[in-house]
Amino acid sequence: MRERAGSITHDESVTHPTAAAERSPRGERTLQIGAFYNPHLARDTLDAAELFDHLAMADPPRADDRYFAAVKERFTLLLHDYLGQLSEPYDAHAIQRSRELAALYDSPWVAEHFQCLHTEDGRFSLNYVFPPLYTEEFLQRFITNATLLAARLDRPLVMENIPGFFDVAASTIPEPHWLTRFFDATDTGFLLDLPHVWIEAAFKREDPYAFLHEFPLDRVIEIHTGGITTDVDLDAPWIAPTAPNDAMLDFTAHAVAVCPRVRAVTFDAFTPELSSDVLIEAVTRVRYRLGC
Amino acid sequence: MAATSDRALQDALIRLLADAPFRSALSAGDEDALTQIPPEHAAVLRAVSPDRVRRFARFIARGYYHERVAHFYRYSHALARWTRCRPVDALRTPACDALLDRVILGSRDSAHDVAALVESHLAAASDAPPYAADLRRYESAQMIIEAGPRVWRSSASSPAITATTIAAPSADILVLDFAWDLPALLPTLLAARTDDSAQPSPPRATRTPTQLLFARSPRARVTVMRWSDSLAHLLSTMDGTRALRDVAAAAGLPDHDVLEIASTLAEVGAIHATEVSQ
Repeated sequence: MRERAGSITHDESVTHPTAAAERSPRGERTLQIGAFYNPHLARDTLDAAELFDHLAMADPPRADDRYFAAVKERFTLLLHDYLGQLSEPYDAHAIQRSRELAALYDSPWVAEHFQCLHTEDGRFSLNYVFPPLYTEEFLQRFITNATLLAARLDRPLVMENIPGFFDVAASTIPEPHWLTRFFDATDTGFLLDLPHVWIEAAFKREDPYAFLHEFPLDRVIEIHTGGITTDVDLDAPWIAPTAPNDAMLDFTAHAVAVCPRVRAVTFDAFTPELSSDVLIEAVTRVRYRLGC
Repeated sequence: MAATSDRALQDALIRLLADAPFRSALSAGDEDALTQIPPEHAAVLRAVSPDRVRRFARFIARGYYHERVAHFYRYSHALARWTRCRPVDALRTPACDALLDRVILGSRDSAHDVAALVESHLAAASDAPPYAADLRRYESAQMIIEAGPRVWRSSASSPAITATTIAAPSADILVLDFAWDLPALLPTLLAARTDDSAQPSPPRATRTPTQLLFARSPRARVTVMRWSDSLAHLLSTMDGTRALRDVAAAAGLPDHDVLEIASTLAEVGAIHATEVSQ
């Protein structure tokens, strides 16, 4: 069942951490909880440093970011920039940039996306999430180019799932199967974006829990969680810079419990419109729900 | 002969979302618009839910320009604490809704239209400082010059700038005159974004004629430089026929000065440089 998308409700029904621990047994493993680094909230992030084990970096630090040195000193930083698209091989410029950013952050892994959003001739770009066709040709392209990229990085590569909003008949392989084959053929980890799974399940009118279990969960290294609201242009649920609601928190706790190698959960919101209150509330609720 | 690979089909799908006139032509059955696409790919595009495509295209377009407006109009955004008028709010207006159904993402014409929309929105703000109009023009120029096809991947290295290099101005440059010294103002405005002290009025600027060059690199990085008549004259002598040592001689400048200037201009995309073998 898909919960009606909407902003978070400040109810009193948040599960007790003990219950979360019982429902999400983690043994001796350490689960890191973090968020994206939003430079306009740097001071608030540092003031609440105990909430954040890591920060994902979607943009390089600006030269005028007076907080970045302290942020880098205090938190584990994860490289999660736009680096390129693996439908084509990275060029030397992109590889060099990836290596330099990973070194700057000392990122334990480097994230890239299953997406193909600009044309080969450079004329058209969507600038935002758009998955490749799930075909044999694209599978081989991504396997080849991810393998090439991973060989040039000095740290592991993880790949994030990207949702579609409409069916294309030419996509002949179901996305979870395509991803499973990709991970089987490469030495990369899976960055499981739960809101992406959720909205795609809504689009397909499938149960998100059942859909989740079609993905190769044994390959998950990092999980993204976040808010979902109805977008006015899509007239459908989509990712939003809001705190995850109770349904998404339950979904996150379930995913953590069934992903044996997961090491980090990240609140996925990166926008100048994100407020400090939402950031703090979101990470606090994630920690509380996961018993961390 | 149009390519028939899955990659070519992906390009067609990307264009379907990025190019509103192309979408219209497809739905209207305008075969002339589809000549670059194999018939089997056109059939795939036609089979996709047009309603879903229209909604996703609008969503993508709004996000595309939201990112650019938030970035390029960040100085006007900083002023919003006094003007109470945020640039990105222009993207949630009926005029924008109408525009999004016509845009081609990445085209300079569409960037120009969106810039005009944002400028019009900001021009209505109250309590704007006297340099606000200059600031809007400055920000719009950046957004417009950023648009256009870009190089995403390239194995070509930048040509070395030497005395025998031949250089010519790029089409991706814009020179504008301003009444205010904007480069001196901008850091103060950015600092105001995170300055919690209650400032009763916006930062002051110095009124002095200021000429700026806006340039775009092949990878679409935008650079703004102070410009001058002497630099403009020097650039005009880089006409695509003369070696830089001849440019230096014509300008009466030492070779190394001209090479240094040319290196900077080439790096920001203001000139195209060609190495000429001896």
